[in-house]
Amino acid sequence: MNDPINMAQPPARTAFQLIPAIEHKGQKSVVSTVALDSNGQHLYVGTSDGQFEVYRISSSATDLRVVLGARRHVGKKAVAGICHLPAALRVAALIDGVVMLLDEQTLEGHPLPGIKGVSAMGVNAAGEALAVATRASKKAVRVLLYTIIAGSAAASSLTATALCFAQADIAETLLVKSVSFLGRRLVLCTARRYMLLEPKTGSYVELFGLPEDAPSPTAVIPISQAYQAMLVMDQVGIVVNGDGNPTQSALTFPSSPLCIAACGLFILCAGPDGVHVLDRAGGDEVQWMPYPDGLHPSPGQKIVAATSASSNCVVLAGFRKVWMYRPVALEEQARQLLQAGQYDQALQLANTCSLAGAPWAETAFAEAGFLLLQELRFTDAMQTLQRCSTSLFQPLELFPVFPTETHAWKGELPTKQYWGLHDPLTSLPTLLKARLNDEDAADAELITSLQDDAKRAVADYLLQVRNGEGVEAKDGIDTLIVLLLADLDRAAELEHFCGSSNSATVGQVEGRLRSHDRFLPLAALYAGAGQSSKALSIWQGLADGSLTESQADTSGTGPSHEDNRALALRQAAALLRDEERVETATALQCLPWLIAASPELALGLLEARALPEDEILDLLRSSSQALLLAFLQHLVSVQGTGREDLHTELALVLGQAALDLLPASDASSDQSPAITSDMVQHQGGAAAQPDGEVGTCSELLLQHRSSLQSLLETSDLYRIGPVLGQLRGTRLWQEQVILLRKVGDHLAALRILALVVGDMDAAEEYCGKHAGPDGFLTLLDMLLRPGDSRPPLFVEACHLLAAQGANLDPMRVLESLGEDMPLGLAFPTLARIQRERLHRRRHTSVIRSLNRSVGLAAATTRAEVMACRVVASEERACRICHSRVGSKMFAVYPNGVLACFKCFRSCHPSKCPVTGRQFDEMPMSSSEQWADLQLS
Amino acid sequence: MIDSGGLQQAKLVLLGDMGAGKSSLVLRFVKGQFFDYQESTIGAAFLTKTMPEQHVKFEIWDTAGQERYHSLAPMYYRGAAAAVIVYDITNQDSFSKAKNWVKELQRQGNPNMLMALAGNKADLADSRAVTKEEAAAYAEENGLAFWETSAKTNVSVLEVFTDLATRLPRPSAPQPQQSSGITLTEQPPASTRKSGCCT
Ligand SMILES: Nc1nc2c(ncn2[C@@H]2O[C@H](COP(=O)(O)OP(=O)(O)OP(=O)(O)O)[C@@H](O)[C@H]2O)c(=O)[nH]1
Ligand SMILES: [Mg+2]
Repeated sequence: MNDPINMAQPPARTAFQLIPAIEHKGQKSVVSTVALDSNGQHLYVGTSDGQFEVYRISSSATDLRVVLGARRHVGKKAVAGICHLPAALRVAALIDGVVMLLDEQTLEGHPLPGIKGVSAMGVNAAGEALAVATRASKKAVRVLLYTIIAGSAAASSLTATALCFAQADIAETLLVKSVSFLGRRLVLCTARRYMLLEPKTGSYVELFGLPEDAPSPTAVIPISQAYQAMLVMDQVGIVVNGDGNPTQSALTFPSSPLCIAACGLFILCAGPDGVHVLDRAGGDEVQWMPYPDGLHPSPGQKIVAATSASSNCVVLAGFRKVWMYRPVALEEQARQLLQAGQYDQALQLANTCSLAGAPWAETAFAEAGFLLLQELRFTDAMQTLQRCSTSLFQPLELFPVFPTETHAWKGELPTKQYWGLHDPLTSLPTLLKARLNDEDAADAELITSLQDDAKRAVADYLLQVRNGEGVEAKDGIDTLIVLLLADLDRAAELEHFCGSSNSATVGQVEGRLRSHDRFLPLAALYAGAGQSSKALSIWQGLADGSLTESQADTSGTGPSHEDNRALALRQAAALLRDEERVETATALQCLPWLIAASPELALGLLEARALPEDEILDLLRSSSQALLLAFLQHLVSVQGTGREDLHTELALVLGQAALDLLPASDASSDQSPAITSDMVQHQGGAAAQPDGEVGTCSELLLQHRSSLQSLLETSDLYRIGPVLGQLRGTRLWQEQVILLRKVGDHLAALRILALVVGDMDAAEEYCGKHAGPDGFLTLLDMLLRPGDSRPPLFVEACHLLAAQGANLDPMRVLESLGEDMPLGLAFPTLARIQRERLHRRRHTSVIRSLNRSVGLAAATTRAEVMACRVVASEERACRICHSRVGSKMFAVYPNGVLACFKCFRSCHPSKCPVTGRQFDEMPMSSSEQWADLQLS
Repeated sequence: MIDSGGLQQAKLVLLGDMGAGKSSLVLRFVKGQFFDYQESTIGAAFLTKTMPEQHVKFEIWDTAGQERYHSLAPMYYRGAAAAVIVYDITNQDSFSKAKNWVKELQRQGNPNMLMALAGNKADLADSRAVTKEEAAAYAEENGLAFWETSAKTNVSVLEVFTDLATRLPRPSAPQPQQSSGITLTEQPPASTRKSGCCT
């Protein structure tokens, strides 16, 4: 259209065939109008002298004959318009402002009654309603709509009934030149404007105005099968829908049209230079036909045209000659276009028809695909083939292009003809040789690039369609994909494809993948095909460097060797974890190299899948202490094994690991408490050291020790003896304390805490938790008499007393203090013990006095209650049963409520039956008065 | 209107003098292309462009600026949700034409229509005939968004359309057959009535 780039192709298509129809012989008259019946079997011709003729058209595949059926004089002026009304078996002829309704066969008939001055008429798509435009007044035109009904059998067959069912007036001084149905509405055209009319309501709107000098024809061309109409102005055709809205870009005619007809997907435009055929939707010119002899219009001459409602025929008439333009079947057009190499047009046509459901469109796509492939337009070819369903075209039909790769599927190739436009497919090199000239064929670079193009296009296509419904030979397709991707160095895609579910045959691709050094995909294929050991051995090769993955990759630089090695390991480990695909024996076999290559992955595997513990442990004991430790930890703390030997071994391995990490320089130095306690307590200090390795080293040490301590604390399964044996005398003091405690050797434990580590808080806590009051005394004794000729630790001893003195028996404390305890140091403690004793005595005496006062208060209350009296008279009645108490026994509640003894017995003794007061919860105070008794 | 894909379809029309660069702007926006020799539009061209981020599908009518086709314009701006009025900053006459278009839309267009004024060929600032201030003031006065654009160097082209797309009123619910087309006037215009008048 307005795109300057795509206008190159000259129209070379045969959309219509030109066939001479009749020649008008009259000397003094010329053809003034033509029409066709709805299915193109009758041709109506009107002449300038009022002659009306009907011809029968009989056509066979090879020729077409037009035979005069009837001729009649219908008036003196020229026949200005003809409309066929199939529903009424009538044809309407407009002559000298009168509409004649004629029998479609005999042409007998009569005028439409009561109407003159008709300027234009039109028939609807169903061929039953006739719209007639005439003049209502000087300033208005009138449009009338008639239903035409064939005369009944009784009446003369010549009469037809015309019922006017709608009428509308429009303010317009000019004559209506053209009327056309657009669904239920009408489009009218005068020399000045186009209008859309709603005949039912008489409302109308101007679609657009025309310049005063707008050349003829200004006409409405119905496109009834699409419920559209085309409005012509100058060289422009505007297609509007039933709402009067434009639906597409305006069509531009190649030359100013003399007359226009719409037929099927096309617009025929007769210009001074011949007939141009335009694609209605796209606007491109698809064919140009010069006028045949005798039809060439002289300047100013009119050309008239008509289309059959079924779009199977168009007629064009000059003064004397009438020609028919028969549309060529769209399928045939597509075939021709393909044959002529006009792929774009062919595909556009096939597209349009495919949308309309034409069954041949797919064949056109397939055929176009093959042809484009043979034109070396590989991408276009594959895109086109994607339009075909598998019921017509199977992807494996492309296998002949790659015969080596698809040899195994040779027997499955179908033989199909399609339209027979393309040669049978040959191998890619043969194809290239056939298409290229000698010079190009010698250009190795060009050949390679074309081959790559082909492989890329086919690979992309196969990747797109392989999962489609009904695809055959999936194994062959997937195999070809692998080979093509490998050839193209599309490493990432290849790996992804091989690693996902596919049907490629490994045997067919192994050689090519190995020669391209594509081991990762090969291993993935093996793994996918259930050949785990082959996959694993490839990964092992990649991991140990005996195999090297190719780094060529179309998407720039591929992953490094290191990346590939890591990937191989990860994939191997992942497969090894899969208990269903890898047997225990295979997993055990692979374990040593995995341990060597990546301890983390090996550990992950050990943790993830159940393997025989003892075999693993044997392997680990001889290979990796760290892994052994980690695995034991997994068994003990994650799996919660109940095996004593494993708990013991874990403790020993942890202990050994910790001992190995203790700084060597300190090992020989004296066991100063300061150093050892430092190690455990100042965790942050380690990280602050400048040397990072030492930092992680001591972090690891801390980690091991905390694991060990928690194991020693929480597990009851390990054997203490060997562990204690390993740790005794080392600087792992905390651990020893735990062990000693467990064996009940509190003295040794306290000795470590108090004298070796010097952690008094810990020692005291130990006593409190594990050793009891005797423990404190033992500790005190230990502090005062540390032995090893060390001086007594008086300060610590006093501190202990200060904290625990209150709970210790002062006599025994004094005993253990002994004579050499300096009084000055012991004074605060002794004074405190003394004070505490005094305080205890005073406290007791206060409590005694308080108890006494409580006793006194109770006695007072009793006396008050005893003083209460009740005066019982004859009239007094029980507050519950209201019977006279008289001389009967009665009871009085603390609030003075009186009840006979019988009622009292049946009620709660401490709850007032009248007020509901609970006396045990709310006792009476002395200030409360008895309600209904007088104190005497 | 909302189609099944959740896209709001919006009719957009470009109006302006011949040669102002309407087709060039549309071509730049829709296809990212520009041609030094761009054929003058005959009738009108129709293109569509989806703006996924704004959930809008523009149905663009690129009209012909030639005076001869002026009368076609109402068909294209009728029912339009947005209009871009284009002038050429090197051509004062094209600016007055643009003002005429604005007037015509204000008089006859859809009253809710969003309008943008585009001073095109901003790359030719050396031969500028319309100052930015003048155009901006005019746009301000008439409630138009204003941009100076260049289809050639791709300046502010996308912005014009994005701005319109974001400002489109969103139909809260699918409205029953919003009359995007023609409402046929109930009565014939009263011109017949005058016939009796003596003048
Ligand atoms: N320097 C420059 N030239 C431009 C620009 N935009 C368009 N042109 C040129 O101006 C000329 C007219 O541009 P068109 O896009 O055809 O103008 P139009 O408004 O569509 O014209 P009509 O279709 O006739 O109404 C063409 O030659 C374009 O190359 C621009 O931003 N800068
Ligand atoms: Mg243009």
